[in-house]
Amino acid sequence: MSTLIPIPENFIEVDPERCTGCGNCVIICGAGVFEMKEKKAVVAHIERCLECGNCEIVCMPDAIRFRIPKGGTGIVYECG
Amino acid sequence: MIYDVVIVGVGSNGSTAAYFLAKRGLKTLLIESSRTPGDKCHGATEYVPGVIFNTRTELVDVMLRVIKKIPHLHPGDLGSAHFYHYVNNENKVVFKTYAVAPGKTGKEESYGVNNQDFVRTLAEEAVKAGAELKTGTTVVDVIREGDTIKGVVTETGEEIKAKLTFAADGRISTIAKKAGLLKKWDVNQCYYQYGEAWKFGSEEEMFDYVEHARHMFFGPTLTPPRPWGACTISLRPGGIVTVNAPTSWTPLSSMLSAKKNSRNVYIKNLYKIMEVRRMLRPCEGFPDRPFQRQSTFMPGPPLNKPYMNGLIICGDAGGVGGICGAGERAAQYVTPLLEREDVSEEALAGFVTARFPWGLRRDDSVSKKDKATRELSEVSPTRIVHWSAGAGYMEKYQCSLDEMVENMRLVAIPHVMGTPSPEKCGEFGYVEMGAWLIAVKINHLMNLYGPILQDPNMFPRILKWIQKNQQSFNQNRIFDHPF
Repeated sequence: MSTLIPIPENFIEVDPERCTGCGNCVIICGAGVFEMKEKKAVVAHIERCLECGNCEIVCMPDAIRFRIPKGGTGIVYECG
Repeated sequence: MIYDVVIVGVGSNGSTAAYFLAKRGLKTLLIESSRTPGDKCHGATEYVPGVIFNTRTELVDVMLRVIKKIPHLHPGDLGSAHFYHYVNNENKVVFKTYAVAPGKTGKEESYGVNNQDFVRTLAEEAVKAGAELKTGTTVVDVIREGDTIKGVVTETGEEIKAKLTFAADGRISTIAKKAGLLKKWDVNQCYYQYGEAWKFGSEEEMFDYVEHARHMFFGPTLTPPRPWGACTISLRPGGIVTVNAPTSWTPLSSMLSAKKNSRNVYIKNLYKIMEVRRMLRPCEGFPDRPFQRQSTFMPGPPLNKPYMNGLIICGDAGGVGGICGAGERAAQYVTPLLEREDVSEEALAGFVTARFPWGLRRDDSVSKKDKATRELSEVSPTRIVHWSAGAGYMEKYQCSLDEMVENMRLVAIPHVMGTPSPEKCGEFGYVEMGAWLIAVKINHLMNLYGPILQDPNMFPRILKWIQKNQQSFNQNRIFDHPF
């Protein structure tokens, strides 16, 4: 089963200044990482992240920044 | 110390490239962010990884060597494993078909493996060939001197210098972005993928329930308004079954405009099918808690410029997919350049063409009537398949299915099934169309109500067969087909 090695940093960041509240990230995320709070997207459940990177692509105002997690951390797939 | 090549990303392509480069005596370093190579590899469970038999014997040799070392499913273990199952609108399996035409000869070999086992062992082969492997290290930037890339910077600030930086770091390519070659993938041309995996108690139990179907298509029921889509289920070693939602046909932009991610609809519909319920029932947590979830996207279109001084972008990172093949092609291309120590932009420019499988390369001598084919050749191999499986192509070119098929002669298919006859394979190694095509036609014919069947006379033989057996379909009998 996929396991998660805890990631010591926020590898997904939303810039609230740039976020327009369009909700694209909430729609596209297959893992339920994002939530809308006060008309802005927030990273609510980073521990669910499957590291697909779709969120960054669909963010039109480029508010979301997705980075590869720190070496040796994050999701580990068992049957990819 | 300066390496000849630093390869970022130890997936199937990075490892393959490292194997070939190290074997030629080039000082090669592989860098991977995860602890073990393969940990981060995920293709939304869509592929049935396997081995390709073609003229590229070196590649086949190393892939076979790797597969023989790891748990794998082999036709010999699977009995009639070459079957594809087709499920009708009443959720019944109406017929089973061979996955590839040469399947009937029994000479072809194909293997089901787990990505993780495969990539880890492939990386071990690269190390044995002389490559150095550094895991648990995330690359955060490139070393840039003027307009030349001189290596990479890791998260600890360590600078690793190399004559050539080889980015094989996947769809979310840090290198391509930092080098300025990729701003962002286009939401209109990236396709969403979602898959779930289930685990049986044992491999034997899996076979008992799944009844030797290696790869099942659940087409007509699941994908309105796009009946040509299909949900696939495939078997892996260790009793693992992977399920792929047919979202591969769905550009990210269409989900955004619909304000809905259709993955849940597809998956829920799939699990409503009696046949699927029966098969997956013994899996723990079914249907709500899958063993594993995977989400990804197919990147594209391929980067217009996948290179610059001292840098090359390979595989998904550059929008050109392919298991192992993309890495091998890139390695073969850069080896002579490294040997004569010229990795300038001019020398690397030919990679624009060389990165594609032979059959998909742009060729200016192609006549104008093949314009559609050429346009197709500018997208990645996997994309073409999904495109074509969808009717987007037919809509775009206002052509019939036969015409589309005609234009797809050179297209590779993602179901990796081998044939011992090189003449039946493309350069990419995949069997060119063959029975897959038949499968597409039949799949389309199964949608007799749908918009696909523009002219029933296009497929007189298949249609005749279907009509002849209509009664049997209605009785939900299971039988083989003659094509």
